[in-house]
Amino acid sequence: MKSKSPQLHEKCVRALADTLVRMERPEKDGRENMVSVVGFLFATQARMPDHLRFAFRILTLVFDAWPYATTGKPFHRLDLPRRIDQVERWKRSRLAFRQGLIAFYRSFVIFGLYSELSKQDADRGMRAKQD
Amino acid sequence: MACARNRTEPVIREMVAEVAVIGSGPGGAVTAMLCAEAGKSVLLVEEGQNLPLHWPEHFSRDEILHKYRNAGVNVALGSTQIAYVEGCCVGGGSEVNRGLYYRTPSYVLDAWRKDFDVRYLSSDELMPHFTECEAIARVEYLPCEASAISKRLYEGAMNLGWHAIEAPRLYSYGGRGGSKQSMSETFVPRFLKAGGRLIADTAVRRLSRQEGKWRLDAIHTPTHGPSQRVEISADKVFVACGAVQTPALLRRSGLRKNIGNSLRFHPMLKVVAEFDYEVNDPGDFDPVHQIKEFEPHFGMGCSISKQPMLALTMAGRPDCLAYVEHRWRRMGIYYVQTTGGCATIRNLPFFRDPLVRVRHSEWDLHHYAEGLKRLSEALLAAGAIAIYPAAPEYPVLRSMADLRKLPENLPNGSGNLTSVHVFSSCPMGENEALCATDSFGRVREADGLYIADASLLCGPTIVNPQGTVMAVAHRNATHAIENRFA
Repeated sequence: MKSKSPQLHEKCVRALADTLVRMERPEKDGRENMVSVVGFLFATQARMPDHLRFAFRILTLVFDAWPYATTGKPFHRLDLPRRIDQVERWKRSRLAFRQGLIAFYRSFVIFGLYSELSKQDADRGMRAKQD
Repeated sequence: MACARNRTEPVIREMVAEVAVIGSGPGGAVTAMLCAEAGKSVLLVEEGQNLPLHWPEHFSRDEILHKYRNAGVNVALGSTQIAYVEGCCVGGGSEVNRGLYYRTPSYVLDAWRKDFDVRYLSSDELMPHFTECEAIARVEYLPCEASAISKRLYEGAMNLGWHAIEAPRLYSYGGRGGSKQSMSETFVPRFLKAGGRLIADTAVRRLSRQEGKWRLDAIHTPTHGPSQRVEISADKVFVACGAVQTPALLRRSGLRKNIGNSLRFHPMLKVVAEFDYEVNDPGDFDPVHQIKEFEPHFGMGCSISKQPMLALTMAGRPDCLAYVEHRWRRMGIYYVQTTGGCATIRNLPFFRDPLVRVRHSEWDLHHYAEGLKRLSEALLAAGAIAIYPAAPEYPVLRSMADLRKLPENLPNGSGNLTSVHVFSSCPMGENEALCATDSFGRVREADGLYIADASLLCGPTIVNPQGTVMAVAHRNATHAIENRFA
């Protein structure tokens, strides 16, 4: 049975997706697309090859626990500037697994986000034609 | 959501057939249809869902989730990785690709005959099989002008005096919007009409031989409802799960000789080209032009360039990504496609999905880099004002002077190789040191077991491989039927 509160992994993925969307579109409020982008991330993770899924799950938990030592909080409980700082550090890390984790989530967040934007563009086009 | 065109059978605990075909992509669908039309009792077993051709929307996020294996997240691991995709639904890869179509170049067949000792595989011998397949799945050229994205590439090639062509597609352009000639629209309906039975959502986990028959242990996992185990009994089995899953299944079943040791790709490097006028209209037909000047080393073409695809191609360039939101109509995705990389496929204990590991030679890395330079040259000649290679190690390119500064080899570790074609993991032929099957796809030392997909191809086809997969499957199934599976 699934617990009422989301598991650590889910909380971290939501926080990471939120951070990446805000980093990509800092001047805009991307929250209206968050449900759909996060849904796409979870659906993709559920379908990816099981050995990769296992490895990414472990890495995601490591990523979430990383700031404990310095802040006493997991990633998903940090404020936005600190979350952005951690993502930037991992993105620029020399360690391939840290870069790889951020590149993976970023790719799917970008694809999910632009799929939403493209759909909204198309909907606006349809409405304009009908008007 | 519209209903799927093809009717599936109810799945029960024990099922029996004379012939079981595992996988309904181009190889499996052609094989199943021929066996059914020859009067055999045939069960076509598909792991993916049975969905309408036009749902979800082509090249959309939902299509990736519903029709691609592992949601499109497949990686051949290595110092330079290749991300590859495979279809996983009734009709397999033919449902999700663009259907660009070629017959196999004769020099490719010559090499396969010479190196792998494949018998009876000249262009002349394969021609009737191409013709038969093309009579069922129609191959047509665009009846109207190609999209601006497509024409730009062609014009760039012409400006440089390079050989370029318009490729035909497995597409019937007649009627409203036309219709893609995927397996679910062509061979599968004909298979069902001949009395064949189709089951979907059913993954075969292992094959074993019991009392002179093949037993297939499978799991049926419907979208709604609980999973159930299924046992299928068949006299003959054709494995057509694709070039990664076929060797994985055979190896899980204890068959290993020359199986899963030689997976090949058509690795692609992509760029986004920006023009100073609009080239990208969402209503256009898919691009069809290709540059052939440098084949067999590498070829070039245009990709689907919807806004999400453009963003994904630009994902490695955070500083430029925002351009996609406002300037995407001036942008198109282009690729150079080579033949590098060779991979192994191995099952891992406790995991369902196989591990794919790839290695590249110096020659491969050189051709990736050379191909990218030549592609950029063509796009500059076509009037592109900026070229954004997907590989973030490369700078934005704006002039020939920029191209001259590019490295001779693709840097090792570049993470941007992708492939939509995988093959050659179980090559056919009489060369027993290299081949997994005989010249007609029969697995050695396994009575009544055949391979019928891209795994059989002895190497890269250089051109889009679906025509070759269909023709070889047609040839091999015809041979098996005429020889009564002896």
